[in-house]
Amino acid sequence: MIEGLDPTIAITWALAALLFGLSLWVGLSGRVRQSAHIAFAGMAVLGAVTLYSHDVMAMPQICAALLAGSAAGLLLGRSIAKTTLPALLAGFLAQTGLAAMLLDLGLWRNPHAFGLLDDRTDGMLPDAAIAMGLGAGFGAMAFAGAMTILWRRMRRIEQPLFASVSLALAGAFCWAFRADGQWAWLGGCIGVGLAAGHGSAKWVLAAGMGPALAWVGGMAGWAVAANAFLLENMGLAVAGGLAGAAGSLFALRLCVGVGRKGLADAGRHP
Amino acid sequence: MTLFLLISFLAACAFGLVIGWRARPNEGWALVAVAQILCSAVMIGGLIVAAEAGSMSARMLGLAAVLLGSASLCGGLAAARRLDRP
Repeated sequence: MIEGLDPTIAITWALAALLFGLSLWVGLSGRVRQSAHIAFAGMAVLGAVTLYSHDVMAMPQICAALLAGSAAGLLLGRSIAKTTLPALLAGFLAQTGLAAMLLDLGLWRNPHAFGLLDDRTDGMLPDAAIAMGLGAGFGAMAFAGAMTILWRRMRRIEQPLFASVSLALAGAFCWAFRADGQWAWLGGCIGVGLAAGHGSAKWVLAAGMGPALAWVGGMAGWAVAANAFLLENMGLAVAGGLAGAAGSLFALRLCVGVGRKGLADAGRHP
Repeated sequence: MTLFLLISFLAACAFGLVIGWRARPNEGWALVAVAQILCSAVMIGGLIVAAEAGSMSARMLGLAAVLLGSASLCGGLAAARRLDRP
């Protein structure tokens, strides 16, 4: 057993990791519903062990955020027309990228609470700074890539409105942190990520919306994995590694022309 | 702990690469939907930040990550269930 790690937490992390892997494996046979349920079960296990293993100081606010977010997500997922489901998935991936950026900004604001500071120099630990930069950069890539997909594929009024509001929110957060004085490193990572995400999404979109969604999902997965190293959470590392590797490789395979039909033509399905 | 995390991460990457290589293009929507749900794990990170952060601004950012991540998780599940229907 790993030194200092509670056996209950280790076993539960392993269970969540197994469920995540199983969900992707089941997805190989095209059973979307079963694989999504298994992934959701893994996420529930991971959430439960996180609440068990941390001293939660803001439980009412966390419950309110969870309930409000879940209700909004369910409402969107169930009410939107089936033909716009790929665009909805792009919107959710944009939200995930934005959440990764906000998470890194939160860690940046309060690094001593998570042991990210060097005791001798009182500066950020080098490996923590690298993981934070990667997390924010990949999160920005996912956000910009998903927004590019939405702009390109959806010409209806509500999609540009959604994109504008999200971009304005991200800009406001970046502006708030500009006054911090240590803005340059994290701001640079986010800026490079936004540019790279936009450029790479435009390149992958040439192969179709499906590969572009898989690519953006891969970027969001890498952002989750980078944050897993900051928070020392194995479940996050496994979820991010699985989504990052599978999404990136699958998108690259389709982009280089191996069997482009199917996902590449999102206009026909769903 | 970092070594343990690194080994788990590399094993997950290897398994993810196998899945990404074996997935057939016409069944790729399952992979996209599941990857989107897996990415929603960022909500767990937000939960940790909101739970343990000492400053109000960090807690609010963590709560915003929880809000966005939970919307993505539940919305992704609902969308995946509808994708499976003819």
